[in-house]
Amino acid sequence: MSSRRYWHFHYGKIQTVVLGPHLRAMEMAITARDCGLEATLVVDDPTGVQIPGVRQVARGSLSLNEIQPGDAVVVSDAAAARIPWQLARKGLAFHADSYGMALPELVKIYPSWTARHAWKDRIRRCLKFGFISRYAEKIYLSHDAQLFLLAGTVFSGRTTTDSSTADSLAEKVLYIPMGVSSPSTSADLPNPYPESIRSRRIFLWGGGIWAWFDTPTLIHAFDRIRDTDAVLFFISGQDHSGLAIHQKALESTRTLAREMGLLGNNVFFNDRSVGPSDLPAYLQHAWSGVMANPRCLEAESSWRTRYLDLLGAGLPLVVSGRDPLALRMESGGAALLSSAGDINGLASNLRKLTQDSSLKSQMGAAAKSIGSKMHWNTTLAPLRDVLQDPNSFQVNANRPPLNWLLRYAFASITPKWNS
Amino acid sequence: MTNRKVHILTRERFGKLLLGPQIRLERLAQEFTSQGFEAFIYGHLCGNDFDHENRIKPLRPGFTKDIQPSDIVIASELLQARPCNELLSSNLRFHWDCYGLSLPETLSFQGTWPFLKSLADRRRKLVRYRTLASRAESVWVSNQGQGTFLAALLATSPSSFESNAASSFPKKTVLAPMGSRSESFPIGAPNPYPTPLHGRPIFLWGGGIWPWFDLNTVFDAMARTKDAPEAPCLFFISGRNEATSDYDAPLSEAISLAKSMELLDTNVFFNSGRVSSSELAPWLEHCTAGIMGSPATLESNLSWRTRYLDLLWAGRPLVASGDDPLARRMANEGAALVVEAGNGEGLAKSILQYASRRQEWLSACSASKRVAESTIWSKTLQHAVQRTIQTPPTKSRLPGVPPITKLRYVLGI
Repeated sequence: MSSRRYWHFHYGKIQTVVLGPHLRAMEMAITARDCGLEATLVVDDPTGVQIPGVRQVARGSLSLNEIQPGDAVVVSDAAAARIPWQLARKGLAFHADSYGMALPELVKIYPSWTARHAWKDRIRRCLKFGFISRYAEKIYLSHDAQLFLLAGTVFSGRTTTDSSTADSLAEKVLYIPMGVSSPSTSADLPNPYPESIRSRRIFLWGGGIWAWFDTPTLIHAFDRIRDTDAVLFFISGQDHSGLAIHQKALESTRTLAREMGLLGNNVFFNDRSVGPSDLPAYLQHAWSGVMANPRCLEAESSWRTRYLDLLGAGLPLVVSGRDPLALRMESGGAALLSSAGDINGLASNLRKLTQDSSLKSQMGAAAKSIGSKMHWNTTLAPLRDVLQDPNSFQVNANRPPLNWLLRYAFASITPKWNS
Repeated sequence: MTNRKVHILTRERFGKLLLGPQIRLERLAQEFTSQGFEAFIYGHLCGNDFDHENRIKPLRPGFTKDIQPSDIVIASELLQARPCNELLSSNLRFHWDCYGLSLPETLSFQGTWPFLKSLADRRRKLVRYRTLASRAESVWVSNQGQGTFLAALLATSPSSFESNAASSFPKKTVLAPMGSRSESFPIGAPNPYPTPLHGRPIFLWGGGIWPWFDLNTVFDAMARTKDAPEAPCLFFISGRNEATSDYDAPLSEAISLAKSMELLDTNVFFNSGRVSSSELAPWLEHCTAGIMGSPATLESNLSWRTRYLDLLWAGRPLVASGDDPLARRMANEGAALVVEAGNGEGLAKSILQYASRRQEWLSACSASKRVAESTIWSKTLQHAVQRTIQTPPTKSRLPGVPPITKLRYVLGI
């Protein structure tokens, strides 16, 4: 057992329904444990799902004095903003796990917020990213587009140090994207799809319908391939986000499908809630995954975790509009990619894959091959390296001033210039 | 000939010595002319006979009065505040040519410029970039990273209009990097390097020495190859930079460093004069490869190093430490050997690889020629020109620039 300990500041409660961020925190803690470190997940509620060999403690009951210089400290993006500030004030080196970079999603939904709420959020994000860029020893991102996004955000900060920090960001960044989970071992799972479509070629929309997706292009493309056996299945037919903007996107997709006479014939919305344990069956009986991206900042800086399920299951992808993982799948022969908003291009690719079983097998094998190189074990290799590097997590001599926390706390009363 | 005219607005000065930005404007005007448009460049004249086709106009107050709403207007990246303001007030639709994105370079001047100059320059660029990026019909960038960086500047703007423009910003961006020359490379000129270097593998530093480069790694690599039988040498083509202290300082530092490492005039050489673009070909022909040291900075990641385009034109490969978009592309196509930033040992190996293995070097030279074919001007500007022509003139009003933004620009805050 190494004398170095691993502390991962996360949030919430590790639930049975494992969402992406929780899954990531768990995999990272397991990696630390497997490197011989005593691993602790710091969460709001430690009574959730327990992981063997990984301790969970409540944030409120943890004294930062328990953390020794040289311990490995990772702070999730969703952890409270004061945590990295407190760590830095104590001179503890930490790494910031900013793989998600939610800003591009938020700029899409800011218009649905009040101007003050959106403004406050923007200010706080600038402050937070400026802070971690200056004080974190390393920053974990998913891919290089996020580096430019982070650099722009930091550069927009108010101080001269923010801009010099932006220039040196590339040195601090480690690329640790979400990885592929080990596929289910069950050979033959019961077909979970509605009976009427079980014998058809099912194109699976394997996650929620969010406001930034381009579902109209997808629905129109399915209208053009009515004559085929293809069927579009939205795995999540209900909104679980609780946000009006996403509910609206779901409803407008359903309405469009209904108006075009596709609902219940070529387009289906799942009426059941699907947990992670139910997913393998949906993947096993699907023909392909499907996605429609508009040409927007969210897509270009995303890392679509739903594709990771396809890669694990060895399923191809048909997608309109590029995103980093789709581009990687396309170059590896696992995806058919058309331009954003190109209904004919998307319909043509859907038709091609529907009618060609050998293409499906070939692309599926390519997906499997890409997936095998993107298992968590591989994507977390940089984390393993830093955990085992005696030079990492050195004492942070750079102490932040108190006014940073005050600026963050009082962001809501900062004057709005021209919103 | 269409009756739509093209107006390219710049702050560049036009003289006999054409640098990258002027060459770009010239090529751009040529591309539009070849599509049947009458194209004008509004800039600063130097009072010589350069403008023999009367296509360069002075950028004087009131220049927008000559422009019709249906015309095509292209604003270059660093158009000064006054013409920018006139353009924005005129409500003319425009495209923004932001291929250089000099803002990240500015970061590297921190510490060499006075604090207030540095701060004001950065804040002004931020105001300018957000204003132009949110209001332009299309934004021309050199690589995807530049587009994402600009989108992030918009996303964090205090203005709702600018912030809301961030989401769909990628729709506006068009890749239009600097291109390489399409004319055939002239060969057979006498070797211009100092006579003692003839017969030695020459690694050419084919441009200025700027503060944001990493010369330490390059010199470390040269020190490691000092005793190699191939005797490779590093040659700096630009004997002097701009006549300002902040630009000349890096050259003086480079000479001192070479001297302190006992490399000066044995393995590292500095040209005694300046080489203009028309004199460049023999220097390229008689070198083995280009060389570059980039640190792991934002500047490198967002750059488009035009000196590599000269190598492509000449069919010469590149050895580099540190990643940048064009070096990466050349490496992917077999025209460059790129190691990570700061890896002097790796760079030394790359140097010896091209210096000692002729077949590998020849193959890299061929790859360089192939990359050149895909980066000639007509191809790099093609999408931007087509997009501009196809954008129909619109009459809807652009949101004005609020007085507070203008004040912030003036004050540099």
